[in-house]
This record gives sequence, C-alpha cells and structure tokens, in this order.
Amino acid sequence: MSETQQKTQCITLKGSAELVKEYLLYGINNILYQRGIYPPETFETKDHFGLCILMSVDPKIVEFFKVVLGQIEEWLLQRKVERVSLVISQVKTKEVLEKWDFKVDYENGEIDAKTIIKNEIMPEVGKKDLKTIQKEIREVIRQITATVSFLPLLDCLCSFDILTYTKSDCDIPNEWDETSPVFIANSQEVQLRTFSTSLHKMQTIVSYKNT
Amino acid sequence: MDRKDTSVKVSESDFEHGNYPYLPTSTPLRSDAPHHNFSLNTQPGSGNTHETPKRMKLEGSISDSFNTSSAESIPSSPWEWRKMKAELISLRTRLTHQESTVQQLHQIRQEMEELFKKEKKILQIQMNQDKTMIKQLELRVDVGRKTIQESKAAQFRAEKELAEMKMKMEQKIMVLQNENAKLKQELEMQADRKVKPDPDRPGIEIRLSTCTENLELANKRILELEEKLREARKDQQKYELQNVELQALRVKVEHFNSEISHIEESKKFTTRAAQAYELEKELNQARAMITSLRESLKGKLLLEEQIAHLNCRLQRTENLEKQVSQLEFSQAELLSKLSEYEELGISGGPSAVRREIKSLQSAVLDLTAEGGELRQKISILEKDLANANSKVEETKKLLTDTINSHDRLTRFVSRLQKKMSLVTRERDSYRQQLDSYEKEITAYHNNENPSVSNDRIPVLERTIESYRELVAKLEADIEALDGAPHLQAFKLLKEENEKLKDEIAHRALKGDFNINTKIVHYKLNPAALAEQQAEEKEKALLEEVEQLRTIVSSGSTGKGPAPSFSYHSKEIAEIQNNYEIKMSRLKEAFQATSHEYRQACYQLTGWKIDRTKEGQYKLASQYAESPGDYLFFLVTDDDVNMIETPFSATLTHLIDRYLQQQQSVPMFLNAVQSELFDQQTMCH
Repeated sequence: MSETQQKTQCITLKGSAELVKEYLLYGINNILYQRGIYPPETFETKDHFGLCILMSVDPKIVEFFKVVLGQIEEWLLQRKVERVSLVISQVKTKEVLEKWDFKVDYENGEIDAKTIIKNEIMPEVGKKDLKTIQKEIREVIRQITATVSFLPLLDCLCSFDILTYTKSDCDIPNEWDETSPVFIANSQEVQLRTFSTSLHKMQTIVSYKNT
Repeated sequence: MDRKDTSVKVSESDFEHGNYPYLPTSTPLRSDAPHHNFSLNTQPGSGNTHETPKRMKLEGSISDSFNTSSAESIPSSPWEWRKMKAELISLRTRLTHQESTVQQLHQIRQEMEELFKKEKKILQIQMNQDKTMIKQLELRVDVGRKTIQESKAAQFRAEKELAEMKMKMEQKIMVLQNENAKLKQELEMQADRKVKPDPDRPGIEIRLSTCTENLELANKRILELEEKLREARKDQQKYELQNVELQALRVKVEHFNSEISHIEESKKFTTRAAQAYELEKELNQARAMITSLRESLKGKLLLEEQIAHLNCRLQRTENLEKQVSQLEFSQAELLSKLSEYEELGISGGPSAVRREIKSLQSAVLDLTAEGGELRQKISILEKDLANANSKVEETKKLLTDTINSHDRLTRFVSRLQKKMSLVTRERDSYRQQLDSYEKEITAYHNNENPSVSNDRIPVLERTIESYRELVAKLEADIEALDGAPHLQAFKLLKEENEKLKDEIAHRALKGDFNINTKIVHYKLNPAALAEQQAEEKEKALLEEVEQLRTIVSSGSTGKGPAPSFSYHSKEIAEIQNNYEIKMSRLKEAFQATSHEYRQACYQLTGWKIDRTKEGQYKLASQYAESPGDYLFFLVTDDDVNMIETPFSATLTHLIDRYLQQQQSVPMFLNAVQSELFDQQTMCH
C-alpha cells in the first residue's frame, strides 16, 4: 500500500493489519506461555498494550513468528485471510488437543480485492480511536490468560502450528504448504471477546478436547 | 507423860501448874468474874474453889444471911418488913443472875474441855508421828550399824589380803634370798673352781651377772610392791575416815530433821496459843458489848415510845398549821374579792348588786332575743347569696359559649372573604378571555375572506376522494399479486435460512471453513520440526537397539570386541559426573569441618594456628596487640623448634624460663597468653 494517510484520528488498512498482527503475536505468545508449550525460562516479559506479556526468546520461534505473521499481515492487506488458527498437538501421537481460532472479518463490505490492488477506489480509512482498539485487544488478551483456569492440563510433550485459511485465489510462497483442516473430536468451544479495528474484526474462539 | 492423864476433873492444883499452856487464859477469866455482882457476897477465896463446893457455899451464905437477919432482929416495923422483903427480892434476883453466870461459866469450862480434847488428839497424833520417826531413826541406826559392820568386814578382808600379800611377798623374798644364797654359794663354788679350772669361770660369771641382775630386778619389784602396799593402807585409812565422817553426817542430818520437826511443831503451837488468847479477848469484849447493848436497848425502847408520842403530836400540830394556812389563804382571797367588788363601785352592798344583776339579766335577755333575730336575717341573706352565685355561673357559661361561637363566625367570615377574592379573580380572568376571544373574532372577520375558503374546501375534498380510490386500487393489485401460497413459501424459506445460518455459525465455531478456502501453513512450523526431531530420535534409538541386539548376540557368543556405544560412553560420563559431584561435596564438607575445627581451636585455646609450609606453623594470639604479633614454630616428628620473630624477641624472659629451663612449649604458650591477657585487661 503506497497511499497511507497519516491522520491522527484515522487508522489505515496497513495500521489495522499491523495491529491485528501484533495482537496475533502477543496473543499466541501468551497462549504458548500460559499453556506451558515451552518451558517458562524461555520467556521474557514485555510491556505492551499496557500489559505485561511474556514473549518467547527462543530464536527458532521468534524467526517462525516473523516469517509467518509477516506473510499473514500481507494477506490481511489483500483481504485474503479468513482465519488464522493456532493448533496445539501432541508430538508423539499428532493428536490435536487444542485449537485457537482467530476469525477475521472485513468490515467495509464485500469489496473485491482486485479493485483494491488496482487502486480504483480510495484507500480505506477507519474511524476508530487507537486507544479504544488497544483497550479491546488488552481485554481479549486478559481473557486468554483467564482461560487457563478452565482449559485441561497439557501433561504431555506438545508442539504448535499456525494454519492460515486463505482464499482460493491466493498465491502461496514456496516455503508454505497446503494442508488439511484440523478437527477436534468431541470438542468444547468457548468464544472470547471480539475486537475490531473498524477495518478488521477479530473473533477469538478456543476449542479444546472435552474430557 | 502426865499430859495424858488430864481429864475433866482436873484439880485446882493442876490448874495452878505452869505446865499447862492454857492456864494463863483461865486466870484472867476468874479475875474478870468479880465484875458481876455475885462475887460481892462470896468470899474472895471461893473464886478458886471447885464448882460444887461453891454452890454449897452460896446456898450457905444465903441461908446464913437469912438466918442472921432472922436471928439479929425480928422485924420491928412493917417498914422494916418491906425493906426485908425488898432485900429478899433483890437477893433472889441476884441469885438468879449468879446462877446464869454459873451456867455460862459451865459452858465456858465445857468449851475449854473440848479444846483440851482437841489438843490431846493433836498431841497423840504428834506422838504417833514421833514414834514412827523413832522407828525410822532406829532403822537408820541399824542400817548404819550394818554398813559399819560391812566396812569392818571389808577392812578385815583388806587386812587379810594385806597379810596374804605380805606373806606372799615374804615368801618371794625368802625364795629370792634362798636363790641369792644359792647363787652366792655357787659363786663361792665358782670362785673355788675358778682357782682350779679357768675355763668354767666366764660362764659362771655370766650366770652370776644374770643372777645378780635378776636379784636386782626382784628387789626392785619388792620395793614397788611394798610401796603399793603402803598406798593401799593409806587408802584403807582414808576409807575408814570417810566412813566415820559419813556416819557423823548422817547423825547430824537426823538431828537436824528432828530439830526442824520440833521447830515446826512449836511454831504451830505458838500460833494456836496466840489465836486462843485473841479469841478469849474477843469473847470478853463481845460480852461487854452484849451487856452495854442490852442496856442501850432498854433506853432505846423508851426513847422510841417517846418518839412515837412526839410524832403523833407533831402530825397534829402540822395538820393545824395546814388548816391555818388554808384559812389565811381563803381570807386573803375573800379580801381581794371584796376589794374588787369595792373597786367596781357597787357600794350598795349585796342588795344593790342583786338589783344590778337583775337589770343586767334582763338586758342579756333582750340582747339574746336580738341576736336570734339577727341570725335569722343572716341565714336568709346567705341563701340569697347562693342563689346569686349560681346565677353568675350560668351567665359565665353563656358568655363562654357566645365567645366560642363568635370565634367560629369570625373564622368563617375570613374564609368566605378568601373565597370571594378567588372568585373575583376567576371572574376577571374569564372576562379577559372573553375579551380576547371577542377581539380575535373581530380580527378574523376583518382579515379572511369567507368566500375563498368556501371555494377551496370542495376542491380539496375531491382530491381526497381521488386519492382514496387510488389506494383502494393499489390494495386490490397487491392482493392480486400476493397469493397465500407465496407468503407461506417465503416464511419457510426464511426459517430455513435462519437454521442454516445457525448451523454455519456452529460449524464456524467448531472449526469448519469455506470449502473454497485454502489452508496453508509454514513448512518449518514448530510442530513439524518437533515431529521431525521425534522421528529422528526414534530412528536413532531404533538403530541403537539394533546395534545393541547385535552386540548382545555377539557378546553371548564372545566373538570380537564390543564396539563403543553412546550408551557406554554416556554411562561413563555419568559415573564421572557422579564422582566429581561426590568429590566436590567431600571437599565442601572437609572445608566446612576444617573451618569449624580451626574456629573451635581459636576460640578454645586463643591461638590462631596457620600452617604456612609443611611443618611450619604460625601462631597468632587472640589477645595480641597487633596482627603482626605472631610466633613461628617448626614442628617435626621429634621436637618443636621456635623460629625468631619480632614478637618472640620481646618474650625473652618467658623463653628462658619455659623453653630453655623447663622445655615445655604448651606452658610457654600459656604464659604468653596469660601475659597478653593481663596486658589487655590492664589496658581496659
């Protein structure tokens, strides 16, 4: 996006996508820490959105997030992403134990992506205050932290993957691969708060194996 | 004992004897007796005669007197007869008096006899006591004799023993003398022999010497025994002397006891005698008292009669006096009354008074009549007053009622006035409204043209009707277009649509997705990497298992050397690790204990001991003035050597004393320590 209007009261599509990316980064890191996927000593606290969030310092994971979320941000700008899901699975049996769905809705109606690319219309501008958006994100992250109280304990070696649901006409880079959808048998779902940047609406759902 | 023989009929001579202790008391009795009149006619000597002869004499005397009187003169005149008679009577009375005195004397004598009896009894008891005392003393004398005999026997025995001893001693002396003689003979013999055989001489001499020694010893013993004998004799003599003294003392004691008893008895007797003397005195006094009292009694009776008489008189005179005083009083009263009357001025006397009284009485009657009339009037007036009061009260009640009603009415009036004002206001407002309406109406009528409005209304009505028709037509069209089945289908579709939406939402929640969407993920995602790693690990493990199996098979057969395994090396590493840990722990423990040991040594001995080199020890005292003060020792297996230090140079006197003289290192260290401690405490 070449045209980005820097107005104090406005939020551009790019900014919105960046916010969503940040939300995903912090949210997923928080989940990884809270769910104990990686040992707690590989996490460090970082102040963000007015919250202390534990971020992984494992270089592999940092690199992975950089690549994946960068790509997702790009897709978000192109309105290609429908949802991003974080899958937590057992390493040994490959059984999916937990799934965090981040569903993305584009709020300014069904505008074709091509038209945007062709710059036929004016770039979108959101009217929402940044502070309110951050507040909403903060609340969702707090909820994620609170889910630990009811989610089942992961008492085996687990790993995670990020699946991106994109539109069919999306170009896929080389390092990426198509995969099959993931389902949890006998699952229980809990929908968390929704936040909106006035351009992207983010819905967070956690589904876990009902024991 | 002549005392025992005393009886009631004691002769006068016995009384006159000074032996009897109560005799002095009896003599004054006799001397007192002449106070009575009976002694006047009796001879002075008859006082000492016995009772019966005295009577006889008395009677005799009386008869004598009669006889003499009759013999001397026949009564010459009646006066003389009377005189004689009077004398006779007086003599008889004297006789009776004397008899009574005689009886009293008899009583006294009996009392005295009783006293004598009592005394006799007491004396008898004393005699008995004396007898018992004598017996006891005799017994004691016997005992003393016995003891003397025993002592004599003892003396005899001692003498015998002495004689025996003497005999024995003499015998011994004899024996010894014999022996001596023998020995002398032998000596002589020896001397004879000595001339001839020389060789026997020394033996004999030796014997002689021994014999002489024995003799001397014997003589000594004899002397000792004789001395002992003398001592024994002395003791015996002493013993005898003591015995004699003892007996003398006993005799003295007995003597003293008897004396003491005698003294006590005499004391008792003297006290009793004193008491008796006093009693007799008292008796005499009492008698005198009795006679005086009798006389006084007679006088007293007379006096009492006189007193009674005088009392009667006194009462009478008193009564008279009282009457007199009363009369005087009444007289005075009457006189005062009289004076009062006189003062009133009724000079007319009682008649005038009567008149006056009459007039007064009539006046009183008149006045009482008037009073009655007035009372009647008062009662009438009182009734009138009551009636008037009741009327007043009624009127008051009426007044209060009227006041209340007045108040109510005033309130009512005020309310009505308020209402009035409200109503007037309303009326004014209505009027204003009316005025305004009227004004409006007038204005309207002036402005609007009534014809124009009338024309418009029908036109508008028409247009309205046309619109209504249109609406009806359109409704009809709608009805024609929308049939009932269409509506139903629409509804069903709506419901289905909602259901499907719900389902989609549910599915979306469950993780369903649009079929057209592609699901992509980064190839090198952590899950994939983890899986890969796990697989690799598994593979490696499987390979290892295979290898181990081959090793096991080869090991069982014992062919070829076992290849190095990761497991083996791991095990070794683990063991090494374990040992290292153990070593480090041991080192830590050693360090801790050594530190503790050193600390303990320092605290207990006061020396901080450091090992600088092998066998070299540096000692620093707890009380050292500066940390530079230390001693240096070289310790080998055999000995300990001190190396000179600046501090040791100051301890030369201690080194000299403890190390060079006594060669004791611990003592040296102690001395150093104590010196330093003293210095420290001195400083403090």
